[in-house]
Amino acid sequence: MVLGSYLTQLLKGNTDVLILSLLEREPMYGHQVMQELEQASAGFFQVSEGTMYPALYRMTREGFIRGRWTRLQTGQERKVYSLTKKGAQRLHECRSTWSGFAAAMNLVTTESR
Amino acid sequence: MSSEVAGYFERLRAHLQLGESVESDVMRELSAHVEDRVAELGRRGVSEDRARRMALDGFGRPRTLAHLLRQAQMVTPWSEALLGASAFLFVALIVGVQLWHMPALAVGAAAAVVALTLYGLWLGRPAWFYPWAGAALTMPLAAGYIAFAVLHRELPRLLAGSTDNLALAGIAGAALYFPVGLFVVVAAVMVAVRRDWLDASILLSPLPGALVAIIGMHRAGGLTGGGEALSGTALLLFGVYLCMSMATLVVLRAPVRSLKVTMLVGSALVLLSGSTLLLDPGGGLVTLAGRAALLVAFLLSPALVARHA
Repeated sequence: MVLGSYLTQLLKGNTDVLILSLLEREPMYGHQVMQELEQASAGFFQVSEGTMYPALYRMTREGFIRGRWTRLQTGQERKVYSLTKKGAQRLHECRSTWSGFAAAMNLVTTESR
Repeated sequence: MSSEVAGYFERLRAHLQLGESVESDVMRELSAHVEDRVAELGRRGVSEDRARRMALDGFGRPRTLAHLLRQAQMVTPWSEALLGASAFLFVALIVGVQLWHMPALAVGAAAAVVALTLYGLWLGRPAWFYPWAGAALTMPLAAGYIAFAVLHRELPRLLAGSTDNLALAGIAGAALYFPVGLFVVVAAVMVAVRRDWLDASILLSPLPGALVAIIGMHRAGGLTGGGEALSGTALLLFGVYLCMSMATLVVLRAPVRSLKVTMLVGSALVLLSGSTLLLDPGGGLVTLAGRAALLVAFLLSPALVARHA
């Protein structure tokens, strides 16, 4: 198996929860989400625009986040996304599932000493 | 805005077809993103030209991005919805003119369906692809019946002691066909489910009608005598696929997922009831309910696969 492909699949499957986690911290616009994701993961997670914007639009349609055009302090207008109540609930569920999944993965994949 | 960025957004907009206000909103947001990204890369020492290219590279091909954004918004443009619906209109016409009486034209029609399906696959499976792929999947089903007919005719002869090599080869080929045909259908459904189980349901939707036609043909005497019997139900099948074409148009255009599912299941049940009343009026309500349950289970089976995948 190609490891790059494995990582891509993992990232693809978790893009939504990563974005929701960031928006839980504070409302952000698209470019900010990309930057924060890269910084918060020490450069490990690099989501392309072609993946992130469809995810943002899909989650908006599903009611997990909402986007509003906002004037920033710099005077620029950006569409800022924030987490909705439904999104917060979804994040909570994803976190629980992830904890269980990660724990089980560790149990199975950790090398015996 | 540079000509490179303007050209990209022009191409993106040409493929988006989300309606004026949504498109303007998307363009405004993505333009702002490019502006931010170029500024960010500029601060890292990347030249403006290269930064612009890097920003656009991140979006991918305009056609692909437009497709992903449309999918995220659950909107299928009219052109794609009409092309998708025309798959069943095409099948309706094939049935209506009883193309099985004209083998050369039938082969041409089958080749056209396969060609459009492959083209859709090459384009990255747009929304119109699934009805055409569904129409293409009726071919393995028809081929399966031919394989069944070969086994049905040749197996008793083999068991009676015949050692005709041609018959043996036919039996072997027919027996081998079933796992291959099943694999093709299951693989197509699994690939569709990975994107959206509703796409897989649309893919499966023409199969019940084709199966009914095949069963009818078998009851009327199989491949040799069934063609005439099939002609008797041609008008009904024409009507069924014509209605399916219209229902597919509504399903593809519906902006809300629940409406898509309701329309898919609802139209299938209406068509089943109508066909049963015409073909088997004395069948009884219990039989109809059983068939309806089977049909709904078949159409919604991709949802179950998606849940456990």
